[in-house]
Amino acid sequence: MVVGAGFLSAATSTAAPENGTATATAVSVSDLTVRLIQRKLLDDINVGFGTKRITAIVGPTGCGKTTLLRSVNRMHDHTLNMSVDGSIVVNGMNVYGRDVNVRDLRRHVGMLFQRANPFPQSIEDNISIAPRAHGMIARGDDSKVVEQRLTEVGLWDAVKDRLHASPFTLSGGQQQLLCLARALALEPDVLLLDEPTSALDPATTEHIEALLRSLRDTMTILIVTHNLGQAMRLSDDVVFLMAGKLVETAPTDKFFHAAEDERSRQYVSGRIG
Amino acid sequence: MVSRPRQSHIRAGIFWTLCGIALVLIVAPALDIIVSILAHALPVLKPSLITQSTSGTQLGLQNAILGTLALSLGVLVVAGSIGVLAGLYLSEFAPRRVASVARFFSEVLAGVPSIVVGYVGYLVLVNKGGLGLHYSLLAGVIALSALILPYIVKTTELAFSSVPRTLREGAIALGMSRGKTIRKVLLPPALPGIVSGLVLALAISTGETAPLLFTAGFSDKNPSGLLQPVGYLTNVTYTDIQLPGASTQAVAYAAAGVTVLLVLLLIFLGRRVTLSSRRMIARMDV
Repeated sequence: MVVGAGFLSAATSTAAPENGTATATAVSVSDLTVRLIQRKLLDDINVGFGTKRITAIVGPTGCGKTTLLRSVNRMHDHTLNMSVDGSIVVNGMNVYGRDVNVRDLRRHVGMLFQRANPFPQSIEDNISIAPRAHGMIARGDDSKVVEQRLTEVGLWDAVKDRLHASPFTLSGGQQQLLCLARALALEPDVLLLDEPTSALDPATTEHIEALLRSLRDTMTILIVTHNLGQAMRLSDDVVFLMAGKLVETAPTDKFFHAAEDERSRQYVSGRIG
Repeated sequence: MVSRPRQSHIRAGIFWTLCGIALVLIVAPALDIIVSILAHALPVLKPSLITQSTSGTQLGLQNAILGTLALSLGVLVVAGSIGVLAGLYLSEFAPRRVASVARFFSEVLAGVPSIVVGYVGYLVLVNKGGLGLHYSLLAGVIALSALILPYIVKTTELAFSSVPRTLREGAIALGMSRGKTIRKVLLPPALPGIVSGLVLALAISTGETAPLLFTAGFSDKNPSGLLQPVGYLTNVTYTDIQLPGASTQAVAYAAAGVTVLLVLLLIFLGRRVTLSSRRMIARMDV
């Protein structure tokens, strides 16, 4: 089993970043195989995700995009009959190592889901609940954290007068922004996004994409998306999966204009997908 | 083709007629019971009947009303706490095999006829060969709790497991502990379901008679202690309706009337809470 930040698969080594210097790898996946009972959802995946870059994970429905994403913060632990082999190293921590504190892992690896899932607490508590659970804020500092995070996602002006209200009074897009702010409140190093805008209107989608671009300075972002336009607009690198196998990984520009694998070119041109 | 609209008209007519008959068959007996009991009960339900206990020739229901309330409170404490914790365990903690075994026994317990619960209660709780609690409030509470417990376990488990999975995953992804996830994320949406289960369980226990006949005994006095026998409304109905004499039969109807009113009140309360919980879950399942 290959473990360590220096690891790059054969496929990734062909994908040198545009500026020519080797980037550090924040998340490196080695020999990852995920099974549901006997069926392989992911088959021997080896791939690295560059530090402080946005990597889009793309591929046809059912190719294992979301499965790969959910392997990084061990969401499969909570799914029956799901088994994971191989290793994932996040900033030097072996995610599936024996002495890993899973709660601590998830404090460093945040996640945003396809559907907004605010908690049945006030808007304000939705933000402070996680940092408080991890002992990151002292009592009394809540309001500062709440304002900072809501401002960061551009929601502050809309909700500052109703912080005690239920989040279910917000629109779908605002709820998703609230969930993003909730994830950011833990100051994660890695942010996992599972089709975060697929249920949102174009304006909110654009807003979230701009946010993600600005977040790239401080964290590594992995985004699963069905939307090739979004991958093209947003990402630095692309990871392309088909039927549970890694087909190609390349800088976004190269992937869309000069992909090496025939299947990648077909996918980009819309002939498969 | 031309006759088709008319045919479907006839079919729809038959269908709706059958639906109407079914509806009447459900509503009529319930209404009949409530109306006839209240018609008998209300004329005799004088304030004095409620504020007095039976002593000598004086007839009263205070002892039975307070006894029923004491039994219900006891059931709420015993079956409520055990049932809610067991339901939480089954939904959130139990390994699958343990949960399925526990569920099986819970269903078996739910299927045991109440008179059998009463008799087993007598052997285990009241009898000197058992715990030797004599006929008492405590023995009655325990027997009644055994009867109601599976119902509370089921509704609590359902309340927790019907919280949308997305909420659970949101809490997991933030690295929140299980305890905190349950308290802060799962409990608020589950609570109305749990409460309505408890209230409806109380409604059932208020109307139960069989488990108490062998365990609670009876007393003409107000409940005076856990180990003392206790009077209760359904016993008054059961006993007094068999006695000759218009005045005792009137008391039986009055007791039945109070029981029905209590049960209706609880059912009404339970439904209110259930509706609000459904609305809450619907809002969350974006």
